[in-house]
Amino acid sequence: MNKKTSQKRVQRDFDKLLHELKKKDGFLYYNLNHDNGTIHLGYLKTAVDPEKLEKYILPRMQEYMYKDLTELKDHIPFTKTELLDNPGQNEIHEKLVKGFVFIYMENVSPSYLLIPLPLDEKRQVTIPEVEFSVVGPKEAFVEDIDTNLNLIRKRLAIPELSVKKLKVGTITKTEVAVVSIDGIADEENVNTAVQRIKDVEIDQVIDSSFIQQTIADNKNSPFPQLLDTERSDRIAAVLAEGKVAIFVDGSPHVLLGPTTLIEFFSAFEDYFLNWMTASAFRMIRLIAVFFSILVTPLYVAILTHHFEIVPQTLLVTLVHSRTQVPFPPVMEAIILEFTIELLREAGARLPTKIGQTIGIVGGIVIGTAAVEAGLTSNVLLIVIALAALGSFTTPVYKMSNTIRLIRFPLLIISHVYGLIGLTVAIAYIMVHLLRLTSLGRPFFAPIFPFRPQDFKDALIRLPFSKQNKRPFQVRPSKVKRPVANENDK
Amino acid sequence: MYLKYVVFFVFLITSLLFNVQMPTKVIDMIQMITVVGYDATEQDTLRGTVVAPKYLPQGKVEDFIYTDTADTVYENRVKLNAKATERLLSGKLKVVFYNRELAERGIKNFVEFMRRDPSIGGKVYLAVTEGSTLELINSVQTSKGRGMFFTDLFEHNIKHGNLPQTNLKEFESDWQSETTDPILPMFSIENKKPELQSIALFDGDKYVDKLPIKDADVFKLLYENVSDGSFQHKNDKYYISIENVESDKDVAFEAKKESGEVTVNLQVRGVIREFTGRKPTNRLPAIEKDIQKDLTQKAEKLIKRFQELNIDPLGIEGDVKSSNRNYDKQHFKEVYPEMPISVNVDARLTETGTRR
Amino acid sequence: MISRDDKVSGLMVFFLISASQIGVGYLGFQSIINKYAGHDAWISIIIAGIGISIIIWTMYQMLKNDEQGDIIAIHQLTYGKWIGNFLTLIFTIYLLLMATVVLRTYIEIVQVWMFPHLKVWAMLLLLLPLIYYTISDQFRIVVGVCFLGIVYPFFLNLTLFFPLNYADITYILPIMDHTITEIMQSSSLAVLNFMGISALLVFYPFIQESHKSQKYAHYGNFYTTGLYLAVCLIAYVFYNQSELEEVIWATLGLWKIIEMPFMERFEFFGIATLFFTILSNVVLFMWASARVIHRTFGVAHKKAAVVLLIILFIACVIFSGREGVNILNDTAGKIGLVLLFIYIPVLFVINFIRRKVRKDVS
Repeated sequence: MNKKTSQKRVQRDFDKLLHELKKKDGFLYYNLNHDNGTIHLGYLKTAVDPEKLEKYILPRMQEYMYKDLTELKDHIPFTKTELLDNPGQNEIHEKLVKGFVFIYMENVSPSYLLIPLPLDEKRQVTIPEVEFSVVGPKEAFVEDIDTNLNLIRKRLAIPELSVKKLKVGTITKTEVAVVSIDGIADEENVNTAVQRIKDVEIDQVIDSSFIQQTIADNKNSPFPQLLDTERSDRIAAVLAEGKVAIFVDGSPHVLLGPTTLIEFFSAFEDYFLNWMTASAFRMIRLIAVFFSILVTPLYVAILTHHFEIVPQTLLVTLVHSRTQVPFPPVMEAIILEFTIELLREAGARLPTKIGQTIGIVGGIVIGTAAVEAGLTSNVLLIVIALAALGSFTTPVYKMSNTIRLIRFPLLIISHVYGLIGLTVAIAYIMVHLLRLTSLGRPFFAPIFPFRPQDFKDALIRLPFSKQNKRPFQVRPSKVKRPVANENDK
Repeated sequence: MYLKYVVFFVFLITSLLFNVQMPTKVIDMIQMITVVGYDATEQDTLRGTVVAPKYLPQGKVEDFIYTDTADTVYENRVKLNAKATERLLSGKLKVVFYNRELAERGIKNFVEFMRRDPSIGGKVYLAVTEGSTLELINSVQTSKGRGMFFTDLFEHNIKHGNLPQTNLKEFESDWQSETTDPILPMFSIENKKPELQSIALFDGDKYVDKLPIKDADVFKLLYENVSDGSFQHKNDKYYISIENVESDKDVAFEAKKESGEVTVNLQVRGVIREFTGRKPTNRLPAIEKDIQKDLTQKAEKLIKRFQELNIDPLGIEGDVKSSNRNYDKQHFKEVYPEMPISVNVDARLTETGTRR
Repeated sequence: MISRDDKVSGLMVFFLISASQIGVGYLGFQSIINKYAGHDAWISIIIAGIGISIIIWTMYQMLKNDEQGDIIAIHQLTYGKWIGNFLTLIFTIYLLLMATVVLRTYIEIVQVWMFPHLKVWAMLLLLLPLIYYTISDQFRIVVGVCFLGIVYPFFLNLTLFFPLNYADITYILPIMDHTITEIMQSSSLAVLNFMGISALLVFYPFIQESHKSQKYAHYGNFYTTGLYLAVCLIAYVFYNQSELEEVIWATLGLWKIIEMPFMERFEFFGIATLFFTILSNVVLFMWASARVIHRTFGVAHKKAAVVLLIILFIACVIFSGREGVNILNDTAGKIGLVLLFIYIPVLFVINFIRRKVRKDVS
């Protein structure tokens, strides 16, 4: 008796639900007669993968033998199917949006079967484009978090790999996973990361950069404090060092921390090359960065205030190239830097092929014309082009943006205070870097706090046999790296 | 919270704004003096000539030459600035000439400004000219600028020629020290072209005598350790020319008798480049002996001459002072002209070129 | 109590000590210390270095025996609260004076060599936020600046070998041509370039396992002594004594002679790079004085820093010209000499007796 009344209530609710749903655009609905009562099936057209529905669900519903939904469920080859009695309108709505199909069978209990058939618009795993390397693995992360985690699990198939999942964003409810290796990573780092992500107050998380910016130690810093990478091999390698990775659903870039300034200038390709070559390249990259930051301000400082420094032989070239130019060096430099930024920005906004053309045409035509018209000196043109080139050697895109940006204040201060101003500005940057932390760990390590053993993989990269300790920077629980043939030694 | 950022930017902008009108020295808005010449005119006034290059395309340089008379160097500079299109600055000063007449009066006051002005470097070459410095500067014909012309001339003569190491710093050290008298190169005009003619010898800051540059090889050996010099020797039987000369000098003092005795030990190594005799390899010891004798003779003659002039460009007093704890300046000055100074040469010919 | 995160490793004492010692004196001490001992004055540097090592040892003996181990605690223990705090205040003023001397002298050098028309107050407005930015956070940042203030200019020291081309060894011969008294007199002048070590009395509790860090303090002092000795010897064979009499900044003069194909006139880079050394000096003293104020009067560290920076600003603007800077230097030198070689040994003795007495009572 009791059962019957409840069945009736379920039926009444369903009728109401159906009535509501039918008003919705794109709602598809079928029904089918069965010995035990009518079966209703409904879903949202845009959310469900029609191929799977036709291939796996519909034929089985019609052809297989079953008494109630519990038996039907056994025939359906999907995980995460749910059997519910009377879930209520809201939940059904929510599930439909997420790509579920509901099957309602009259007069049985449980009366709802929900099958997830979301339309999987996944990008294929492709080669890394931002951090391309000639040698080494060539798989890059995609937008789907499960695929990304899978890529890591494939490389680190160990039970210690811990994945802590969180939901961030009041609207988007984006899945965020904090990944680390138990027993290697410092618990404190993991907890800091988890805690900070929990504390994030934001309505939407579209990309990992949102997390990167909201959990940064110092949000008013031009420097990125978490490294983002699209290379799965890099993430696997740093996890084994004891660092923490943060995966965000919908973003092909994975964050990792705690990181250091120098790590931003090491391309992962360094590890695929022989250590001497790799060290040389790393040094070249670092020199390029210093060159890129300092050379234009130096040009301005010396030409405006300290002509004594220029040797006589160089003066001929320098002075002659500047005689036609009506502006002081600082104006000249800012105009040219601005032009380079314009070209870069225009190139970045346009489709790849047009962008490249703009870059080349702009560079050659505008550059030559500016020199011929006497708006800039050709020495400065060379200097600035080289500086721009230097900034592009930085493997991490966000860092190379920062490097180009901090040149502008340096230019202005060099104009007023010459070399002294330049030094003061460098001191400002230096103190800022000293104050920065990444997940609570000093950002300027291993230079300061001075950690000689971490230098084995910083300015240079020593052979793997010498890198028998994990970086002290992340305070790993196990410092020593296991060596395979330790007993042979 | 944001107060500190506001304060920081206000400070920064104020700081930049109030110092932005500091005078700048933009490289193309100034004229960089490279060569200066000072001539004595009438009593106590001097004629100053400055050379400031103008840079033309294809690395060519054209020099502006300004000249005027005044009492002091910077008074002169004011007058010259009145003639120049851009401000004249001495930050890239490379060469300074004094004419002989001025050098005889003493050049102390015309060197002083270079040591005081922080924008002038330590490697300025000083020189004396036989005639007027204006004429000498005008006589140069070059497309690389007179500054470069003279610097290069000095540099290669110091490195490979007979000219000893000389520049503002050396001159200053020698002149300031109470133990050494300075020397300077001396120029003259030969065939309407400037020529390094001799080495001017100073007593304090006053010119006293000169030594022809072709005889200065011995002087250079006595003056410093030579790393790439040359030496010519002639006698009745043959001429020999020795290149790639390296030398070590060592001055020993023995407190004998009243004045003490100084021995200059000289080690010379060189390579034969020109030899008019036959098969030098067989006769090397004999040739070495000839050279030793010749060198000793010339050196002793040179030192004798310095003693007669009562000047000490070789810094013998410094060597005596540093190796003798009982050194007394007064006493040394008295005995110096009569002091026995002997030279001891050890010459060795290490190679004979590509011929036996 | 000071948290573990705030502390720095013992090795850093090396850099802290060196950074506190090497300041503007580095640019011109050669022509000051030779007043009595002439060309033998370089020996007095060694003697001064040894003397300072003894003072460091004395300081460590005092600091080791105290729980909190800084000057405030020692003063309060030794003299009681009121007199102790008063003496601490004088110590703060001394630290502040040192910072003023260093900063003002450096700006004077900039004025003489680069920008004669520089407005000092405007320049200070650029520097003060930097100092505040450094000292307002953890001590770690100050140590970082000191560390880099030693490491960066280290490469600059290598360029000092170029002037050796013009060296004349006879300028410093014969060795020991002066009496011991003269050399000792010169040593008392040489000590002025080592004075910054008094900051040790403040930062000691910030060192991990501080009682074990004494050897690093001595190494730091040896490094400074060695560096001064090298620079002094190079200057003494480069210049002769009568020439030195007229030179104000002998080290800068050494750089004047360097010419490289891509640049000349190294002293401009020298002055610029030396800013890092100066900064570490000023920052350390300012941090120390702010810390002392914070400890004695309980004022918030940041507020104390702001007030002290305002005083620094005013002091730097008031003293101007060669004469003003000289007055500053002389005063600081005299106070420093009294503090290091008279007051600290006396304090050590009184402190020692005090502790003995207290132990016996309990």
